[in-house]
Amino acid sequence: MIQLACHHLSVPDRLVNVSLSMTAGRVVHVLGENGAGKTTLLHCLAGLLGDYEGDITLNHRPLSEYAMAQLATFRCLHLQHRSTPFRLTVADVLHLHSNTADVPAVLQDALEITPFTGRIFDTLSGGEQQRVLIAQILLQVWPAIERGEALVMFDEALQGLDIRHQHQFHRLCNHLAELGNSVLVSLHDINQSSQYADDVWIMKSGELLASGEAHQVLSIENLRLAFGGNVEKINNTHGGSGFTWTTS
Amino acid sequence: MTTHQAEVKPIRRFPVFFLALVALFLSAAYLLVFPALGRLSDPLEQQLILTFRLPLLITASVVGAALSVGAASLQVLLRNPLADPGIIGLSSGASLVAATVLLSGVLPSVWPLHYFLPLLCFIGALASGTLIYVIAQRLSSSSSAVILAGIAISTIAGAMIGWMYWFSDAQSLRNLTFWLMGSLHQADWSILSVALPILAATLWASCRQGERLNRYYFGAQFAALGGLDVKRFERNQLLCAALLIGLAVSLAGSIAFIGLLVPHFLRLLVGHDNRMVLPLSAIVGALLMVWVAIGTEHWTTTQLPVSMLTATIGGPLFIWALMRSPRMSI
Repeated sequence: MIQLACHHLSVPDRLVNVSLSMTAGRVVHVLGENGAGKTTLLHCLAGLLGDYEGDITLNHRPLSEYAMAQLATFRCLHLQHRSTPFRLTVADVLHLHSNTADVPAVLQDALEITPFTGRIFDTLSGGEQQRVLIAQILLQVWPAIERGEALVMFDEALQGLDIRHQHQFHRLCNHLAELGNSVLVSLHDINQSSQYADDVWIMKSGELLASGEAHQVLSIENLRLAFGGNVEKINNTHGGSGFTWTTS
Repeated sequence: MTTHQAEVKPIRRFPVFFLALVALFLSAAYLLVFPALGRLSDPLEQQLILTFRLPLLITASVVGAALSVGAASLQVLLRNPLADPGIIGLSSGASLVAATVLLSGVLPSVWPLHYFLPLLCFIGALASGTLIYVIAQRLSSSSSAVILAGIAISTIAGAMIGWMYWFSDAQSLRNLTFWLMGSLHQADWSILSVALPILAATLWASCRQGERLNRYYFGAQFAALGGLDVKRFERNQLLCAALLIGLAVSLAGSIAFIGLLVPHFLRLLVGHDNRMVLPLSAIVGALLMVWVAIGTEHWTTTQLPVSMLTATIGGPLFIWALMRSPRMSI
């Protein structure tokens, strides 16, 4: 079980005094406008950024005490904008990073990548590439995931995914959390957060605006503060409801 | 739990490839060293083999292997599949430093040259390699910019050697041809005794970095997330590449395109797993250079500059590689 927390975390020009803690076995969604500090926060928590002020503790030990090789066995992060100039096949992309190209059934069901394992990665569509990259980082820590001891982070992994794969991705995240893993997802779809997130963190100008259980944090007031303008809840004709944005 | 087996190019094929290439290499080596078996009892022929053909074979082998392995790892490190020590200026950096020091007469003539030549070339390769690496880090978004910067560096170094050519006397001219065009006939046992052990050790160390290099295909940040100590790894790789290429230049001068073509074709053939690409690059690079040595040795009456051969074959192949590479938009 992962215990992750940060206290008074600051990064010049990026993050201001962020204090958070993360409970194992939950899916956390990170929301916020462009440039709000979501990516920097994820990079700090993954151990990728060293020059921050404040403390980050992982399982009650300072994160900086962990070697990257040790972190890599149970922590993974999906980076935005990842590409390679080499003509790797999809199988290469998977197994050169984690030494295995066996895609577990649960990943295959959600991501449906085995039909193109023999193809050149570069020739896939944007959404197909994204699905391969999601599988790539999960395979890196798969043994830890099966034990329920992984910290899994996605930075805008939903970019380019069609609606079916977006929802299959969220169900996969919920499944990983049920195994006991900690799952952190940054995204831009408030409605998906209200449907799938256990907890929500909202960032605004490098500060943490709100954090807590999704149904409490996803209030009209918080969302209006976070995104500006007039966020409203609308009811559609079929009895469902969702958030929308209008100019005030 | 059921799993879906992906179609990985099986590493099982590796020993077959490896042994086939070693056999090819040995037969080429045999052809180079013993062209006339009937005359083996002739003392003159024995002398020729010992002082001439054996050093030629060793020079060709280690130079081919070093250029290919150095280039293969630089290509992944600089995130550019078309990086070549000749194109990005490592070879010409090594040549420039060596040629400048040798021709300016800064070194007292009593100093043993076979110690200092490899050192000078290593310094030159390391300097231009570090420069390219710094540029590559600054321009991480554009891999073609690295190639362009490398071309600039190699052009400047080439031009400076060219100016020395203009102002030098007849004795120096032959030496400068060596630094510009390469030759497999300059090396003798004394310089090999210094360069060979270092090259062999560096080749061995470089070929063992395949698994780490595999994590590099998606960049340094992602390699760090995969558990690699990126700073240390990059420093070591750069140092190894500079040693390999610098020492290869000290033995055989500037040789073009071997480093580009060998790893490129191996990736087409066996895929991108560097655990295979690196050792196979060593064998194929050695094999190719031994063939070049046979070519320059037996098919022509005068000794051809090596780069004339490699560039004649390599230039068109380079254009072909550029055309089929979708991402190289300069």
